[in-house]
Amino acid sequence: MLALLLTLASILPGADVQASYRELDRAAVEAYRRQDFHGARMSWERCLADPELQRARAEKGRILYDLGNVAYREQKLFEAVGWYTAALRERPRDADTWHNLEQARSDAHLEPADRGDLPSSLARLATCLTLEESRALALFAALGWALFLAGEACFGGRSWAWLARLATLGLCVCLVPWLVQGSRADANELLVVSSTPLELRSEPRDDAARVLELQPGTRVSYRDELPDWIKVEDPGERTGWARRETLFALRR
Amino acid sequence: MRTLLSICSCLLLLSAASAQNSVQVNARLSSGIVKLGSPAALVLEVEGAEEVKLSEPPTVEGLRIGRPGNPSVQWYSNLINGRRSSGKTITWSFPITAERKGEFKIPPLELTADGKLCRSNEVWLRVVEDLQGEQLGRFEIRAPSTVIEGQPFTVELLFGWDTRADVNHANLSLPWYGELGGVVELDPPVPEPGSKRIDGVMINKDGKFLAEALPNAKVEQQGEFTQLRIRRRFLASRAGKLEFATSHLEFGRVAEGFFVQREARLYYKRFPDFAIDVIALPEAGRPLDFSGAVGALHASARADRTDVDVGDSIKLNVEWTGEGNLEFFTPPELDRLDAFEGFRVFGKTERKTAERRTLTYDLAPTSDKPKQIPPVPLTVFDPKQNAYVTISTQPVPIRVRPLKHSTTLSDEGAGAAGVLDIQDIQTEPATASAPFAPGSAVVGSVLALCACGWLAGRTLVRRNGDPASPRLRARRRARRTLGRELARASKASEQAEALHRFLAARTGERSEAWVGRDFEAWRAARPESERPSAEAARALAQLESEFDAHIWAGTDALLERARVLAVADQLLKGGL
Repeated sequence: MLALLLTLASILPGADVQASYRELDRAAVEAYRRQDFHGARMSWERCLADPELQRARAEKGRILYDLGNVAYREQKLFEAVGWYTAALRERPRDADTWHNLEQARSDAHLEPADRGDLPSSLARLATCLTLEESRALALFAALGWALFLAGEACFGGRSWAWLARLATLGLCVCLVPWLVQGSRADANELLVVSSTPLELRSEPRDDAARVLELQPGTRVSYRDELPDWIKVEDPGERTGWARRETLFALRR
Repeated sequence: MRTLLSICSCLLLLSAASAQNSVQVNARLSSGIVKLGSPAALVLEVEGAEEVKLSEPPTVEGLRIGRPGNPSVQWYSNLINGRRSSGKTITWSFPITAERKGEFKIPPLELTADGKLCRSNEVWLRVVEDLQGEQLGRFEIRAPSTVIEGQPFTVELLFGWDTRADVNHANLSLPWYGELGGVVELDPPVPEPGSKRIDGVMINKDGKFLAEALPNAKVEQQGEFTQLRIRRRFLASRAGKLEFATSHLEFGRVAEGFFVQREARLYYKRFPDFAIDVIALPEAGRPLDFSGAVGALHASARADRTDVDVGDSIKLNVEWTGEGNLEFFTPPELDRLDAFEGFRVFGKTERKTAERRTLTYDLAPTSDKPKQIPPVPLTVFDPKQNAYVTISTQPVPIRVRPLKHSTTLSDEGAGAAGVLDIQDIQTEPATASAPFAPGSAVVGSVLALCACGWLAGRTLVRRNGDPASPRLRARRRARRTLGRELARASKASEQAEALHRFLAARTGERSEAWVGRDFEAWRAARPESERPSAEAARALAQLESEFDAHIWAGTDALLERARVLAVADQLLKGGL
């Protein structure tokens, strides 16, 4: 019945705007359970367009995670990696998302997202908070810092000076997640999801010169777009055009 | 004497040359008649030329004429009929070794002197056999007639002389030694244990070699001969023919002069030339894993421990011995062998000598399944069988115990989840309320405010001095210190002293200044902002008079502590 309603809703102009994302979510779950992955994907993708969902970070992360599961079940491993990566931007500490991301990366023969070495661990620590959480942490750290600074200003002495220095150091550490997440919030990153190495063209034409080859799973930055083409920049700051379907936007 | 004659002849030649003022080339032999095996030299002298370029030495069958060393140069000056002239003579010496007896004509040597082609005169050399040396000496070279490319071989030099001969000098003249192409000389074989060694035998008059003394050999109708042996090992690195030119044993007595050797009597024993055929390794049937080992080798293996837990390190010692190029083959890599799938190989160390090659592999069983360390194979070309063979070590039985209370990855995968899969979809809407999320501007403002506030507060506070200075710290602690001292005081005089210290700490004056002070006058002198109330000053004066009464009345009884503290608080409140 719900599916019928959804079908009608999709036919009627403007009806999808009225449909709450919660109803779409329920329909997607039902479709998923029926192994109608295409239907589930359509519903959850429409959920993402809901302004209410865009404001609820945790809910958005859940929908992205579910879309990752859909892509995984459809054997679109690179796309699943993309969905899970996008979900982690919304819920960076969600254990299920991390598990599924590593599973999908492993199946796609990609390096683990968290290699477990020191740089990976530090990167994960710096991104374990959302932007809002990291701002709150920065604020609380600033208040604590203010207390120690006040003590140092009023009472002076070596002990207060050291406490103030330690508080400054602590504040710097607490500011790192905010700075990292702040810098990432503006970055419009895309993931190469083609199953074969992606060839970047000098112009948005299939017969244009091949300027670069990117491995699947590589992150690139958005620069420009045309209806079927996206211009991207690789980590080496080289740019080129690629077909839209070979890239996955991580900012959703 | 010979040197003197050379110089004289040079001077004569020089005078003639200067007279003619042209290039003169002269060739002569160090000796016109030589014994077979004894050294000779062709001396070439060029006079009156500044720059000389020699051509290749001539080829004479039965003679080996070597390349000359650096030339010797002599300068001279003549005064003839009052006319002075000068020039130089350049002399080269070409070593000659005779390979057979006979008379040999050495053709003119060609050279270019100051751009002009010149020729020397031809000379004749007569080589005679040393019959006495042939009878008195024994010399034999034992070597295989064929070897395989890459196979080491030993050249055995057996020599000796009649025990009745007076011999204190022995030299092996081996023109091929050090000159063989495609051959690498290896470490010599170790002498047989217990054999007597004789030092001082020379090869090509260069260096002293150690010879093994073998038991004397008795030859019928000839007598008894000493027997010495020198062995050298070589490795043929490429296929072809190794030519060993005629060799000689030079022996006899040499009288040692003060500076140079003075010949007394030398004999020569000849050994004819011979060759060794180096055969290329056959391509047919060569295995892909051929190690490069050639020879008759044997392999053995032993492990340092045979009862281990999973993951424990085992040192597997593999040793190859036998006649072969033990130092040169590539040992097998165990981690590339299928038989060693149940083991993890961490590395290897190796030792090589001419007699044995030893490799110690560090390996560990990855499960409790292996029951033995598999044989270690090595593909070798065996010259005796003329075929590639695989020699293997014997397997080493081991017992591998599983680790207690442990699970392996496969156990985890099979027991708990079957196969690895993703987590299911999440259907429950997130109930977490929106986190407290201050804006970036708020956080930035707070940070800026904190920094500015700290700077301002610090500047303000330090206007009255450093708050961490002893005076200000005592001032801050004064009230607390007063309370403690009053609690400890047992007499009114102690209470009075405590109060004076409090007043001193708060005002920065000395505590003695407060004894018998006019408090009204003090109050009037204070700045308006720090002036205590008149009531507080009066209470302080009253308290002081009571202290005086108690102290000077002789009882020194305590005043009520709370009252003293109340007066102190009143003063603090008033701005003290």
